[in-house]
Amino acid sequence: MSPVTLFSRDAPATDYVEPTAPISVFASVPEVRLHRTGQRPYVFEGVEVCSATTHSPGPSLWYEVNLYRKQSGSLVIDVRFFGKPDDMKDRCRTFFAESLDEVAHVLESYDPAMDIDADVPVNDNSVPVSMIALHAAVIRMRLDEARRQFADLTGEILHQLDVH
Amino acid sequence: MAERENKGCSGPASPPVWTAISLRRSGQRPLRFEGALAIAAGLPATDERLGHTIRLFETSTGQMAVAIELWTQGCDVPTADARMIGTAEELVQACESFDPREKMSLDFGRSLLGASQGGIATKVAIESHIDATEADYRATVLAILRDPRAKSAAA
Repeated sequence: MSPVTLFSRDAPATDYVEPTAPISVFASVPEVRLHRTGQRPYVFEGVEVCSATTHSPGPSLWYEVNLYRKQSGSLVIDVRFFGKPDDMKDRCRTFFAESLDEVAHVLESYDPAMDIDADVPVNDNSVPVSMIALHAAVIRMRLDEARRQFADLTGEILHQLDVH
Repeated sequence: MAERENKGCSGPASPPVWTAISLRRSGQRPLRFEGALAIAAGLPATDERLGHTIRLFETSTGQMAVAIELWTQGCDVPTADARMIGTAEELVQACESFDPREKMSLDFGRSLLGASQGGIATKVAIESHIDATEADYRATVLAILRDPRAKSAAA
């Protein structure tokens, strides 16, 4: 079996695949390997249910969400955050759910603030106050942008899944 | 500038065919109902501004639904809002309260920290981008609200 999901920084998401046939009809279920920041990869056998990304040429950060159904029937949510500037770290998180309603709850309660580093140099006396204020403004803009993008992505995924 | 698309029912009124409709809502579950498209208008995204669509639906329950989407060029996921409306006033409020300025990002890749001539030029370009997007959106709102089908449907 070969892995189907690779950590790809710039590649756009694959096309949405309708969650149709039960997983048992597959002769062999592919192995999926998900990167997780600060943890070992999560490896399981399953298929992709849907995915979406907010990647576009403009903004300097974007999200990608992939949803998988394991052979057991449970669901795995793969949330990836990407940042272009050197001071933004890429992050990959994995969540688990037993139903589409739980998937909706996970996405609705996800707080993108945890993906934005609050790196204001407050302990460096040589940094002028105006520069600290600018740092704070940039962090605030990134936070607003991350929240907006993740909300858009949540709406898109729930629309694809037709969760109500 | 691309022409404003405006699609909808025309000619003599015929009984609408209701279908199951699901509308995106950023950060929320989709809005679902049985209905039919009454009016759609919008502009595609370009390098200079974001695109948008406004769609108005009649529902099988006699209400209306409005769907507003803001599109970034090269991105398949829009910023979206959708809501049920019962009166013409609620339609106006829904269109007016969707503010494209709040939904747009600054390109902080070329960040404010580089407060150079280039940084200032970038800020001016962003402001122009935002102004163009909002002006286009407001023009589409006006076209939708002036449409007799919107008036009659929300009456």
